[in-house]
Amino acid sequence: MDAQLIRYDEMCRAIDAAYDVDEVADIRDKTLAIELYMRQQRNTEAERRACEIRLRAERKLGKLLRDVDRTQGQRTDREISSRIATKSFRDHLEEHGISKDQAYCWQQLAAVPDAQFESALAAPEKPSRSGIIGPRLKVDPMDPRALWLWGRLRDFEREELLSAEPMELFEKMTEAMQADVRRLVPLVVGWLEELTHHDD
Amino acid sequence: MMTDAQKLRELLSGIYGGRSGEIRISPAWLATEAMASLDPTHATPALIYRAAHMQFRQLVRSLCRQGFEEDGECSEQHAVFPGLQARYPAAHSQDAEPEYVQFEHLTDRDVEFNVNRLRSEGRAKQAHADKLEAWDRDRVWKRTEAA
Repeated sequence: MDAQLIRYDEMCRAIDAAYDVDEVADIRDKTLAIELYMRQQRNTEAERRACEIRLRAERKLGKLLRDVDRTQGQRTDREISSRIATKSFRDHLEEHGISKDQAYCWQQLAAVPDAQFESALAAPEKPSRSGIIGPRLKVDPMDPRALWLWGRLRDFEREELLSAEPMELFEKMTEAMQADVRRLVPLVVGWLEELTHHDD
Repeated sequence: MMTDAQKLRELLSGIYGGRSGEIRISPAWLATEAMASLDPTHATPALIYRAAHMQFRQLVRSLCRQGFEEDGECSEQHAVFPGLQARYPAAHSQDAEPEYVQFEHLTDRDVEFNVNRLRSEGRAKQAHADKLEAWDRDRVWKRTEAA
């Protein structure tokens, strides 16, 4: 067994044995840094190993955070991991810079049956969280052209063009620039006109 | 075998990774940590130490400017506006060394600071490109007129 494999097994055991969010969050952060570094180095084998450890750590974090979540507001005389109960769910999130979305995803990962999780890690393709728990409701990314149009319309305000005299600006252009403006303005005005018909 | 540059990057990635959960990261502090691990007795001549520290700060800033880690798939905001960074510099005066703040923890002032900074950089480049293109258009126009 080579050194890397031993280290991998050690990390997996450490994650299994851990019962403290701080401990597992630390492993997860370090493994993520290694994963990103290995990706930069194009070392796909090491990147995959790091990815597997990260997913195990995230699954464990999901379990621990779920326990913290459940203990909030419950009786405290029971011995449900007193170390966990000392901090609130929100404390853990803030302390480790974990977003609510991440906590939600990791808790979903924790809910996946062991066999399903292990078989996803053993699959030939690189495992991913969305591959294991299924993709979240897809949200379309902003169309860059829509973003551009919004930004440039806002520029008219920012640059105070709306209070400037258009002909004054036009006269300051070279002949070639004026020719472009003459050609484009009717097209742009016609196109923008469509937006003025939008009513809601 | 790893090159020296790779070793340095790995050292810094390790230090950065250990602190990646922190809301605020100071590139200067991380650079000092890296220097302390490379040169614990502070034997490096002052000017060389300073140059190395500056280079480390630059490397940390580039790590901070990276996009979202894979957790991005968990963030709806990221899904709508892909390309946002995981951290941005906190609002700071021009001569101060900025800390980098996690995206989710940016204050209104931090956001305004970064929007103005990026817009100003973008505006300067846009104006440069427009000038060059207008000059070229004018040149072609005059050439056509003369022909």
